[in-house]
Amino acid sequence: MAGDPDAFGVLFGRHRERLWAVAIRTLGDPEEAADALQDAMISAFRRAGGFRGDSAVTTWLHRIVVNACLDRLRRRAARPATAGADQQVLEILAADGGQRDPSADSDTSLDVLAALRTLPPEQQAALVLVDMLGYGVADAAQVLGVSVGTVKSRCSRGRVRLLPHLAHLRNRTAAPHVQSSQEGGSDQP
Amino acid sequence: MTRHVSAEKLARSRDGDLSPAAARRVTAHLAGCPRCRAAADALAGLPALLAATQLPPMPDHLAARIETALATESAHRAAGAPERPRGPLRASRRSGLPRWVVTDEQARRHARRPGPARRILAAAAVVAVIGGGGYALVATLGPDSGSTSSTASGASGSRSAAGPAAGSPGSAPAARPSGLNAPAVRSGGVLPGAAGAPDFGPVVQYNHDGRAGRFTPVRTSTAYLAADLGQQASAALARVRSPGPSGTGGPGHTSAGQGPAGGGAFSAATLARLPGCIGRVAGGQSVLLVDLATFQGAPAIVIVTAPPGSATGTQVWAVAAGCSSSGARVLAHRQLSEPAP
Repeated sequence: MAGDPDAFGVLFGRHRERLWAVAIRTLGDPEEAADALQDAMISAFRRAGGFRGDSAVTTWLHRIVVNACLDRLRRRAARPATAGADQQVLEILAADGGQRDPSADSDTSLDVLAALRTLPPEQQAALVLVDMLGYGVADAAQVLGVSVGTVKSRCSRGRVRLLPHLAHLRNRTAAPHVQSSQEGGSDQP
Repeated sequence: MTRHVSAEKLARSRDGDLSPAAARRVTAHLAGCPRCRAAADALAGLPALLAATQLPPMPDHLAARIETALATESAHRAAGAPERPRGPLRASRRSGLPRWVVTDEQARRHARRPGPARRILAAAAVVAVIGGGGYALVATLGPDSGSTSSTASGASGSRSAAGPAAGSPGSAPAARPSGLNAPAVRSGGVLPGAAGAPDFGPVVQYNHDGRAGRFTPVRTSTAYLAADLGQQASAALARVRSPGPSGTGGPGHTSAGQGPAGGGAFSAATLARLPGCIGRVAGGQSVLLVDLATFQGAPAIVIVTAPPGSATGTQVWAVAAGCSSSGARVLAHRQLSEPAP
């Protein structure tokens, strides 16, 4: 491929929806997701010479996109949340609505995204790949560049942290008492 | 009853991440504790809840933006600038073409939340850029573009201190050359007042990667459109030059001294960002025009560059306002294929 523009354009076309799915879930803001994706694609383009083989390329592209998103999440942690982002997602969801009941689905999706935002970036990325997008733990480990065990533990800790935020979505009538070990602390007897 | 199980332990139990003994204790506790069973159920349901999250597919205008960025990147490569050139300019190879990554936080802030109309326009613009430009754009940098703007190169040789003098309103002819009216009228492309003299800002110096230059930002009040960008930029260039050249300069050119203050049209914040932005976009080329205007209805900077001392390779860039040294969002890119009027 070696940075051949046509091949790269095709590559982007082939993967763009999957990569977008990762970026929009990780960042929650369409504009920022597009920026991250763009950074990632330019970066991939510049380094494309070193990669061969379709399966490797898929993982590699995912990794670059995830890293671009994580960079932004970490930077974002240093500044206040952008209030308009969720509203933007909501508008797009509404415009995209079609047959769905936009209010119910959008509300739930926004709640989930908002809860996800409370997690450390690494846990967010793991949950986006494994729980939201259904990537295998081994694939996610490759994309994230960490061990399978690390992916599992990030997912577990992330779910535990999400639980208090999202329990009402599963069971709106009787929210279960959840004894959560807060702040991702270590296992307590 | 044994003590309640922590959510984390429940999660690890689900993942098979506990010792057999610990797992047995959890199981035993769950059997007799509805509260912890409820927590375990909630935990078990989380992945499905996350998987059900509905998010929109990539909006077309954002996809188009990325494709434009890739096409621009590709154009830079095709022009023989695989990496940022260092050292002396090699004008004969046109290696001074700019390259950048579009990461600018400010550009993002300025460009975000476009109105619906602008989203549509932006998508249309990108189609035009890719269809008419992109890779082919710079591939035509060869000999057949030799006619490109003798004006540009001529002007780069004839820059003088006259530039700032044109800054006083009314010193330029009020009438536009008739040739400029066609695109303007057809597209409604010139804002009210554009028939007047361009508004000149103060001379701005920049230094980017060791390449120094200077330019005089202008406001021609042109409402640039994707379909007419090249033509409109040529026209703006001609207007800016008609009473006297704007002070632009590539390396080695002496240029205008400090001009009039430029009035309130050039805010301090804008002027502060311009050197970095222009240095980044120009990448060592001569800067012929820096027009603080609009592109597709949104604030943008239209920049015309040419390789120093070369009669060919004049290029037009439309970048989003907010462009700075840390990033430039390219909205469109054209090569001027016809001599500037």
